[in-house]
Amino acid sequence: MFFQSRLFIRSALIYLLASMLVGALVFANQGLRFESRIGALLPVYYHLLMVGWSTQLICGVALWLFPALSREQPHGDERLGWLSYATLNLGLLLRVICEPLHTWSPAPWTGWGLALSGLLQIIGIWAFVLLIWPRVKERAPKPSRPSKAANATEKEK
Amino acid sequence: MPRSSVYMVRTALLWLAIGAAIGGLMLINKGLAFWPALWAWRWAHVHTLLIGWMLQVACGVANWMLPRPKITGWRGDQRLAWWSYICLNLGVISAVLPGSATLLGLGSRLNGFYLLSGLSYALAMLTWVLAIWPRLIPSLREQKPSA
Repeated sequence: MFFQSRLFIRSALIYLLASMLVGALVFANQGLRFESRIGALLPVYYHLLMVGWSTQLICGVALWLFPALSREQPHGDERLGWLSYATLNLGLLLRVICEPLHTWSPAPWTGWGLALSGLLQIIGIWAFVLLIWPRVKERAPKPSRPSKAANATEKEK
Repeated sequence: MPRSSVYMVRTALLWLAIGAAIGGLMLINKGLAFWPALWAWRWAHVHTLLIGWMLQVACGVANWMLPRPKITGWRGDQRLAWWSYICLNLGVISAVLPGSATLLGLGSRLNGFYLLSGLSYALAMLTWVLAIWPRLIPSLREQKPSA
């Protein structure tokens, strides 16, 4: 498994742990109601789980598993992979910070932070789609071997 | 990768790009409030990403990777896999339409499409399970009688 793929999957595992912690806090608060502001963490929990964990895990496994693009460039253009990794994770982290703050006390900087987060995540996903698209392909047909009869006529010549 | 899996995975990638764009726009709107009606797309966001992307990419990869029982490379009845592909995507399109209509100011006229969406999903999963079921067989090592 190459480095970029491992990085996607290890980051996904960290998001899984983080989402479980946030989820435990949110659900404990739904039962015990110890702090009303914690309810604002619910969308953060969903997106840590679905973007940080599930989507990023699928991206990492797809980069590793899908058919090689070519002998020279088996993983495709790795720069797109780095762009995808950086923007997706930066966007998600920005959301984790800005979304609860914007719900608790909206300010221009939290609003712009959310907007930037949305833009970064769109770029991250589109870069991944562009990277993996050419690797989703049928197996190329094997070059056919010359038949025995053809070989025999070749020898006769 | 069989052709049906290529179609499933590529269509899943298209839904990922669309769903992420919808989600990103909704997040930008949450911060800058430039188009309040955009919230009508939240179910489109959920369906494109959970069903169109995640479920479909899992189905496509499973159709490619699961064992092939016959030495000829038999992948089960691929007609069932194709029906599953058609129904699943019909379901996602039907789930996107009502929210889009609300967004365009047409009100809740297309809400009936949610019913079509649910039925399509059920049919898609039925055909997919039938397609994949015969491929879940014991490995050759398990098939050998113990000495």
